[in-house]
Amino acid sequence: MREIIEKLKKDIAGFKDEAEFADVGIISEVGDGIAKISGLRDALAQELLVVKGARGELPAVAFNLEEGSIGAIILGDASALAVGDRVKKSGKILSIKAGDELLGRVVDPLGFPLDGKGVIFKNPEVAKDYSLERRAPSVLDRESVNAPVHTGIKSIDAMIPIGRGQRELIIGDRQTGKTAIALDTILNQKQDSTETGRNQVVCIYVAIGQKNSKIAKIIKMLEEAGALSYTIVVSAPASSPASLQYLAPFAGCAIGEFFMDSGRDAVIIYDDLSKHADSYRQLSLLLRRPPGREAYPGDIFYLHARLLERAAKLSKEKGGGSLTALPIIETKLGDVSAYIPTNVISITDGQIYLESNLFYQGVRPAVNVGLSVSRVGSAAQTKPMKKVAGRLRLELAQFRELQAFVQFASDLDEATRKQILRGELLTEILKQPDGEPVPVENEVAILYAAINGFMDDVLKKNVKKFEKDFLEYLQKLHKKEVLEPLTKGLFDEKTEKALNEAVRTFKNLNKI
Amino acid sequence: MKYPIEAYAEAFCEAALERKGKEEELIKKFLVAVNKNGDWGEIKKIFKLIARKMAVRRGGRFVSVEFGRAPTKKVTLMLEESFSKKDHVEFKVRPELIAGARILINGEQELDSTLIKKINKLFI
Repeated sequence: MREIIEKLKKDIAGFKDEAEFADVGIISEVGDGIAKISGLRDALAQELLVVKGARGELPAVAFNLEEGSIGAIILGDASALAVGDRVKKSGKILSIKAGDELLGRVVDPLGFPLDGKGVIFKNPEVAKDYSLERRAPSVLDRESVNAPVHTGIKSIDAMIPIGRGQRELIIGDRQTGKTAIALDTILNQKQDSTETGRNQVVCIYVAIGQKNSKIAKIIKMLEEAGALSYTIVVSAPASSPASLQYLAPFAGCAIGEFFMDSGRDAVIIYDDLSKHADSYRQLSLLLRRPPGREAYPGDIFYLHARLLERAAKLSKEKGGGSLTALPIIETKLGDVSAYIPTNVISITDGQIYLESNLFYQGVRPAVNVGLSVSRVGSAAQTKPMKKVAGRLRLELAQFRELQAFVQFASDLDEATRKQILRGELLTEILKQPDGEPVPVENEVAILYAAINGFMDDVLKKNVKKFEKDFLEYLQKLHKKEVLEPLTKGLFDEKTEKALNEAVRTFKNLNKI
Repeated sequence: MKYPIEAYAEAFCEAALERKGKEEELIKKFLVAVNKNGDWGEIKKIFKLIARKMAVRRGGRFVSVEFGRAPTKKVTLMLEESFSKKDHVEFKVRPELIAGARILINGEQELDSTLIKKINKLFI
């Protein structure tokens, strides 16, 4: 108590107040999270303003610069503001403090903690300020994507490989497993970095317009799996103002850029950009910007383009860091030709398309391999994976063509029947449960066994058991000569021979 | 609103300049026009803007002085004399300012000597 009194006395003694004229704006209209401000002639676009309301100060961003007024979005609860409240310019644009202290924390788009674990930065002066709106790296600052981001999902790592610095869209209807893919990717980063010699990949999960219960569940899952220590969650749930939902992806991207600029690799998940587009539409309509197609503003493409362009693989001169973006888009009734989905598809370097039909048939993850693509391709795959995955896509494509004949299996020739059985086997292999990412060496081993015919005599109902037992067998008895080289990205003749022998021995032991 | 407030204010100011000496008739006709357009609800805002525009056209300033407590006549006279005859000065009382005064010129520049500002600066 004494300390508080002494501090107050010191503040009072040192208080200086010299009245001087200052530029000020006045709120002339306020409501629905936006405000019209008269005055402040010299305010710049996207400038951070400070609104002095009855319950304290609130930040706002100058969005519309009109002839006699400024349209601003209020970054907080605008219910405490009233007409006549004063507004001052800050001379800065909106920025967020970024640093290693953010790892393991849940923050809002303005950088304030939401997890109740106390102050994030003990020395705020030391933390770097990263602007939410920043220029994307130039062409000369980049290099080609050459290292993989393993999701731990067999179908993706084999046929739709994602590289560090790539933008890969995850698109599908509601409840098809889009977030599950993103979370498996986060979980798998823990396994991937311990033995490969690569840096721990930092993960950033941006929740835009999600339910609070879903975000809480995700955080709990990450914490229990030990993944929260290298993850940052930026949360703008459905209950937060549209302005914060609009800013959330930019805040996450700014944090990701901090790690990228310091030579590290980061993965950022935007869940989801459909809600982000909706929040931007809401703000634009309230500010009377002219509506375009589906009432979205004319610059909706630019909104996502400038966000996703900031994900890149930097050249060695710039530190060699990378930011990989996994934006998520929700479609309605599988319509990928709608406005926002087509916009984002044209921006990203590929898409993972999830189908409801496949999901209901039990194919989970419900990835439609035919419609999914990665424009980076095998440049983002390790040598072992390239070797086994090469034939996988072709086999599955041939299987899909023959699927119509499955019901007439007795009338087919031997070769066709074998092809169908192989396709069913591969489809079964590619299924995996939620929240259980598979390390890359295990993926290679099991796909090798399947592609090279070692599992042709395994019944469909026993495929999962075979996979589990085989991988356990490799882990216990063939870790050094098979799994370790695969982990390091090596697949020479010696390793292949060892894997070959291991499969044969396993089958003999289990009398398959 | 049928027409924006800015349009009404600008139209009135221009008409006032064209019809000097006939202000009473002009005001009557203007009020009838606003009522006819169904924009009577915005009449206060319209006249506030007219006052501001007329002050600027005269080469003066639009000054708003807000007090925390009701000022004495001596204070208001002193303030009025501080400004020129071309300026439009209005006074308001806002109890939330507690004490002191703040002067807003043309809605853009402010001199704030209120007690609430000092308290906020000291403790927040």
